[in-house]
Amino acid sequence: MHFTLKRLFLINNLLTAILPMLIIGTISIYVLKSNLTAEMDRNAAVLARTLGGEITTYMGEPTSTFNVLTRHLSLQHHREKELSEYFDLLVRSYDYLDALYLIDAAGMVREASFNDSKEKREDDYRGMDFSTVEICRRAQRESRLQWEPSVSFVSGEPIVSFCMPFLDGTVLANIRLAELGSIINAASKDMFTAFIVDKSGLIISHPDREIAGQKINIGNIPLIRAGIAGRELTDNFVFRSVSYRGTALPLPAFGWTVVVARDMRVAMQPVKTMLLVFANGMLSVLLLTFFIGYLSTSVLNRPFAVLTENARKVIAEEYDSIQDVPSHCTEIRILSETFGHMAHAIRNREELLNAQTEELMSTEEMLRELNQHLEERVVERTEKLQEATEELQTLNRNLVQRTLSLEDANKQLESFAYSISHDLRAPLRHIASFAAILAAEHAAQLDETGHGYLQRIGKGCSRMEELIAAILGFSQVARQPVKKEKIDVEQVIRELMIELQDEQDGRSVELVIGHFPPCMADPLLFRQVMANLLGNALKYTRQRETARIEVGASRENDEVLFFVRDNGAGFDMQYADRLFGVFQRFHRQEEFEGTGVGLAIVRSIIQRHGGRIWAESAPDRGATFYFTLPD
Amino acid sequence: MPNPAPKIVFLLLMVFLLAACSKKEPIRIGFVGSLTGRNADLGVAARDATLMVAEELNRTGGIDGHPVEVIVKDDAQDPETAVKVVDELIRENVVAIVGHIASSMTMATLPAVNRARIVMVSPTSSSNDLSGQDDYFFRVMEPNRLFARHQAETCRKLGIRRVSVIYDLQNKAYTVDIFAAFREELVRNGGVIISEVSFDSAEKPAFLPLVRQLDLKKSNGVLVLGSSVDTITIIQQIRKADPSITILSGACGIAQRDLLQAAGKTLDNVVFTLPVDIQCPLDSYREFSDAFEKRYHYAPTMAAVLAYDATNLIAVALKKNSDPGQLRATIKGIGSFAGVQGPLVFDQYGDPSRLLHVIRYRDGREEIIR
Repeated sequence: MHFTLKRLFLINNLLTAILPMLIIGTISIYVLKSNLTAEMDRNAAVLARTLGGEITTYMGEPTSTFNVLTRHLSLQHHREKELSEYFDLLVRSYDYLDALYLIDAAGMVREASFNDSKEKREDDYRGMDFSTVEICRRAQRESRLQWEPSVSFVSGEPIVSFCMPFLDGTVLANIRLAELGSIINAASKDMFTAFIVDKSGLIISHPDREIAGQKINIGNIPLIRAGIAGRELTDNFVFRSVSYRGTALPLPAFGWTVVVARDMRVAMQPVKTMLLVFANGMLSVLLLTFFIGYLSTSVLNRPFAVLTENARKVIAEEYDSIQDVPSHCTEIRILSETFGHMAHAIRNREELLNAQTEELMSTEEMLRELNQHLEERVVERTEKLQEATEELQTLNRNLVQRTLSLEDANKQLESFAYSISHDLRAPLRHIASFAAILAAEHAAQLDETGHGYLQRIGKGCSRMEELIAAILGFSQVARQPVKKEKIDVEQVIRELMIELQDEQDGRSVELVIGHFPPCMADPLLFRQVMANLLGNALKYTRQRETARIEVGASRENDEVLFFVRDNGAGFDMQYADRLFGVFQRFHRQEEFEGTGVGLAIVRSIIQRHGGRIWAESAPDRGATFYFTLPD
Repeated sequence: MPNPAPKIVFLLLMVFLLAACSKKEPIRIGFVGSLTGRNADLGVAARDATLMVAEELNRTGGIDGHPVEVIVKDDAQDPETAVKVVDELIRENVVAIVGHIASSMTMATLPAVNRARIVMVSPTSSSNDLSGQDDYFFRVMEPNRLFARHQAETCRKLGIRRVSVIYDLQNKAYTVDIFAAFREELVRNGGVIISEVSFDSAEKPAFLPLVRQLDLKKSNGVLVLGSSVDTITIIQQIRKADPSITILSGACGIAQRDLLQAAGKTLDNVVFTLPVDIQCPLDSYREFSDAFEKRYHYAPTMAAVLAYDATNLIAVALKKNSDPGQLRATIKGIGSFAGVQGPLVFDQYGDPSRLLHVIRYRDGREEIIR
């Protein structure tokens, strides 16, 4: 949140001025209000009691007058005319009497008098049937004075009907409640309004004649309900949209409730005045605060404006035109002086900075040049590298091509070897057969030398036969498709050792079989590899007292490395590159028989599996053959 | 960046202002009727019922959350006063007026009400002159013609062909209206008017001499058209001359039942034609009747029942559409309304059709004539 100093000062002033006023004002108004209410509640209660006493006194009068009247009537016998005059006299003597009726035993009106001189209905009423008027029936039945609020037939105003048994009939007198109004009127002054409600909640007397005449029932107001229920209560209420505070005092003798109410608008006038004073005070404080705030910020604003201008000049490097800040305020003077020092320091540093910048710029130029040179060299090198890469790619392509043609030649060669060895077998068997026939059937015709030659022919043929079989085996290996499966190497070795039992007869052979990680290979071809390597190992250890053959494997990265080690005759490592060639033999046939194809087959199988094969050895020191199988 | 200083000042001022104006504005409904004088019984009961509707509405949250306020005015049964107080109601911005009680008062103020475009629903104004007009006036009681026809029909049923009539000139719109329609209908049924006497109740006349002017000997029925108090006094005078002649009275005559005790045994063979059924067995009426008696300590009279319907009609319409400018159209759109004594159906001019009830007193008890 950002705000100007001016606003900060203003808010500060406002808060310090208004908050205490607000608190003091609220408390004073609250205290004033509660004091005023308590004071008026007391006054209202006193007034209600006084009024209650007056009403009781007032209502006592007709009762006693009435008693005197009936006694008087019962003592003397009156004629009709005298009675009529007597009634008229009575009614006119007592203002509060509305009407007076004499009713006979049958309930018929014998005499009627009205207070209203304009009323000419005496004749109407004489002879009227009042036999069903409840109050008269009750008075007659109970033989004592009855009274109840009612409505005047003459004026329509609320009245209280008094009925007294008289002779065998009754006297009915209607008392005007309007007269009660004079008491009420006298009490209703200043802010107080007094009125009377009957036990049904009907307003029977009110200083406002209109309200008194309109038979308004306010029995739904809680205050009135309390009064009717016989409880004195002070409470707020609303009547005809105006708020009042009233005190209800029950008058149990009549079943009425006297209410002394005050119009809250009038009653709370002092509070209103106080509020007005307070509001005006607040407004004045507000205006004053704004004015003072404006003045003080104006005083502050000028030096700050000069300071701001000075700062702008520092930015624009116009050091020589920096002005003095005009202020009597010590803080601002110190601020201004400090600003001057700061500007000076900035100027010095700026000059130093400029010198350093120049130096830096020349260094930068040099670096830029160097960089340029370096870039050129990089480009040059990159070009050369690209050329070399291209050359390499060409070579690679050639190599691939040559490999392909070599593979092709190799295949042709294998094919040729197969067909030639196959075709050579037939003539060879002819030679061998004829030589055998010659030796068996013409033995007598040959001398010892001849036999010797025949024997040599036979041997040569056998040898030839072996060689051809070896070549056929070799070329078959090359043609057979590879089907990889999971191999149980240990099982294969154990089976092979049983098969190679002949070679071990009468010999001491120590076989060490290591641990084999799981591997995948063509089971027949793998068996072939192991058969050849184990066969060789057994063959070349023949001259050892105890032959020791060790077979094992280990996982190296993504391939399995196998080895087959023996302590046999071994070979000279200088011929190692010829070791896996076809018909390559390092020992004489008489010493170790063989065709010289076994290892060539082994290499061919390993290569077809994607593996490598090699050997380590020294003459008479045994040999170790290694080969790998990829996963 | 907004300046916070005015905001704070504004907030401080709001603290003072908020306390003053947190309530919803009340909906003001005017009531006008005769509340003072001898003929106030109808008006007082109607006003009490109108106030009761407002109290009931306010207990259940008012109309759309607005409290209902009834502004009560007394027309004092005087046309000039009526025009004056209706003018006051219009200036106090009432949304509708319940009133008047007397047809003559309605006739006096209706032009002003129509000019101000304020709906006026009368509980008891029954003048024929108010019928058939497409204006801002509505009512929940039938026009006089229907009453008159009913009374003539009652005469026919009871074999009364020779009728004398006594009527009040104070409420001509009711009495003269109904008398004219009655005469027409009676004559059509083969009856005759034997004698007629009029009086002005404002002058408080003595009734015995007036009744003596009626030729009761030649008549076998008397029609009395006046206020409750006057009707009872007149009945008493008639009975002095003829204890048994059949007396017919309109709705006004029985407006305030408490007064009937002042009629004594003279009530025997008096026939009243009423727009409401005091013995109505409907639950809605029982509830209303009980609540009314509890609140005001007297049984609801005809005027109370009708005013209750009239005020509720306004309330129902305002609940449907709270725009006072549309109130006339809303009421016209209602067509049928659930009155406290059963549904009310309005014609295109806002006149209802309601069942009438004819009762006769015999040995102090009511009996219904069907």
